[in-house]
Parts: sequence; C-alpha cells; structure tokens
Amino acid sequence: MRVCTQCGFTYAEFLTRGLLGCPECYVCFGDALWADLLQMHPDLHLQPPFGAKAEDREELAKLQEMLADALRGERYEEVADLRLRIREREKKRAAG
Amino acid sequence: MPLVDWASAPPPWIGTGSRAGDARVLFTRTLRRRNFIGFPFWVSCSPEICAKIAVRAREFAHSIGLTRETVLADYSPEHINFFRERHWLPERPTAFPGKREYKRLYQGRDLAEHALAGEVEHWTHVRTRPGLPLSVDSPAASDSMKPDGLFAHAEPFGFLASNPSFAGTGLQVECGLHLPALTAARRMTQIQQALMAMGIEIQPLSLRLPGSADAGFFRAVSRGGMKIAEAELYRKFTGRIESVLQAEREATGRWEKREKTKVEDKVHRAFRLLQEARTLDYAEFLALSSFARLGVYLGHFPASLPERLEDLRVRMQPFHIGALQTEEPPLDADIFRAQVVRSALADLDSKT
Repeated sequence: MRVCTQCGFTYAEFLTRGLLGCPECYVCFGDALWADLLQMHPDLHLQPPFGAKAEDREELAKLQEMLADALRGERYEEVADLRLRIREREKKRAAG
Repeated sequence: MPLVDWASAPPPWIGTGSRAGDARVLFTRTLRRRNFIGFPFWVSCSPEICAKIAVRAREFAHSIGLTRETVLADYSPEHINFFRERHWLPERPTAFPGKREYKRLYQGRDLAEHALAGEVEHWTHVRTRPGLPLSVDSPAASDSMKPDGLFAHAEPFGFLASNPSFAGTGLQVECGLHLPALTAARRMTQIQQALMAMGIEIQPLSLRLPGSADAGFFRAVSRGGMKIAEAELYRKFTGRIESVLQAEREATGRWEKREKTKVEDKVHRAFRLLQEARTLDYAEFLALSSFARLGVYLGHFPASLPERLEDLRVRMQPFHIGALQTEEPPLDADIFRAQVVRSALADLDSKT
C-alpha cells in the first residue's frame, strides 16, 4: 500500500476523496499518480518518470498525431475515442 | 453590509469594463488555486494547523488589498446561500468536519475579485469578467501569485494542489454560456462528450436550482494544466469555447431558416411575458429570458437586453428575492419576482 511519508495519506484515500494530503504525496505516490495526472490533464505531453518501450512510444506518438488531426477537423466522436485509447495505453505503461 | 444592499446592486462583473465578444458568454471567471508552503493540504490538516493557515491567508489577503474578511461560520445559512448565488462561494461546498470556522472569504474594492481561504485549497483567488475576454485577466493578481517561496511549487508538477486536476498552472477557467439552439436541437450531450475529452466539463449553470440546462444556460469549466503557460491554457480554452459558439451560431441560423415564424413567435411571446407576467418562478424566468436573449441574437430586441437579463438572472434567485423583500408581510416570491422583472424591462421595446 502506498503511503505518504509526510502526512500519512494513502493512495487509496486519494482514490476515494480525489484529494491529496500534502505536497509530498506528489512524490510518494509516484507513477500511479502520474497515470492519474495524464488523465486529468489532456494537454500534458510530458515524459512521465517511468520507462516506456520504444514501440509503445511510437504507438502513442501515432495516436497523438491522429488526435491532433481529429481536433483540427473537429471530429468530436473520433477525438473522444482516441483520447480513450491514449489513456488506456498510458495506464498500461504506468502499470507495466 | 446588509443583504438588501448587496441584493439591490447588479452583479459586480457586469459593470467592469466593456463586455467582450459574443453575448452568449455571460461571464468568464479565472480561479487561481494555491497552497501556502510548509503546511499540509486542508484535507489532512488538524484544526490547530488550519488556524495557522488562516492567519497566513489573512496576512496575504491584506498584502494584496483584499482587506474585507468574512468568517463564513459567523453567517446564517440564508447568507451562505446568498453568497453562493452571488458566485462568491462555489456551487458545491466541500465539507471538512471541524474546520468550517477557518473558511474565510476575502474581498477588496473591486467586488468582481475575491478569494476563498480553506475551500479545498488554502487559497483560491477568483476574478470574474463579463463576456469572453481575449486574454487571461490582468497580471496584477497573477504577479502576486507567482512562485516566490510563498506557495507550494515543485518541478515537474508546477503549483501543488490538493486536487491534482488543479495542479500545474493552478489556473482554472470557467464561463457561463447561453446555448439555446444547440439545446433545442438536442446536441448538448454530443458537445459535452467532445469537450470532456478536451478537458472541459459542461454543467448546468446552476446546480442548486432547476431549469438552467433546459433553458440552455451552461457553465464550461476547464481543469488546470501542467507544463503549459497560463496564457496558453487560456488561449486553448477560449479557442474551444469559440468553436462551441460557432456551432451555436450555425444551429441558430438553421433553426431560424427552418421555422422562422415559430421562432419569432417564441421570442416575442417570451419578451412580452417577461414584461407583463404577474407571477414568475425562477425556472420559468430562465426559460423566458433564454428566448428573449435569442431574440437579441436574431436582431429583434435591443443589444442592451442581455446585460439586464444577466443582472436579473443573478438577482432573481430565491435568496436574493428573500433579501430584497423588506416589507412586512412579504409578498409571495413569484409575485415579487414578476414585479421586479416587469419594472426592469418596462422601458424596452422590440425593434420590429
């Protein structure tokens, strides 16, 4: 179980309340929190602090290009679908 | 200040400079969320730490000219609901048991600007402006809120917030939207899903009172943003809102083309009802004002009408009505509301 060494908040508590206990929680919850941040911040194009295989990166980059194209074309249903696929990939990366 | 004085005054953002852009945007609010360095977030604070944060918040408020402090625990539920209607408190309160007495509202001379201490984050700085200004609001507030050792900030995250969806810039943007044609065409669910995928949530304008969404009044709320500048985040938000407005303009055009006489009938009927009604509940007021506004977009009514309707939208809410009724015994709220609306719109006439 992930616990913040500063305030004692657990990652499970964060999942329940949606709130972190203190600034140190950002560090203590590490890659699990990163996966959540990637969901919360759709504009976040930031290499998370965990590794990723080259083929995963390529696939993600391709999906993000498709997303940008769909956004330009205002194809909203396609945007929603691509967002979902990107998030699934990000979650897999975080887990594995 | 007695509630009746607040309730008699128009919402402060209406009079702040020229309104920007499409009248379908009622207001734009920027919320900057910060946490004072060296303390845990509000959710995990003990009451003793909350008291220390309250002292720090008061010092900071005074340093930036927000000298009027309201201790929310000292006020009745009627006052608190009035503050919510006035947009000074969030639509949905967050309960932190045992910490209510440390929640504070700070205001200065500009009533379109205020700050909340202790509502999820230590400090939430709010500015409201009419319309959809092209750039993020004046730097006066943001300069004082840059990282200088006062607020919790760390790379690569940016400003650290208890709710991580506000982390990064700490900036959240929201605006009130009037989208009657998309609502009538039943396209709002599709728009909501598309905007959600882009990090913008669309909610009914009021979560406490019924009738907003049915009348086409919505609130678009952005999340924060990481690794992005405030100005860029704001530009993206306004760009996405502009594409929704464009869809609304097109839907309005199609609706008018398809059912010109019916639409004209609806808008003129609504306008006259507002001018003549003897009893008016709030949901009906919203529905009628929605059609009256639509009449302005179609060129039937004067351009000054949306501003008056926005004033009434705020001041005709139940707790404002309660505050405005000073005579004994008070009139029925719906009768009183109709009376105020009639008097506010009496001198206006349609163009056609």
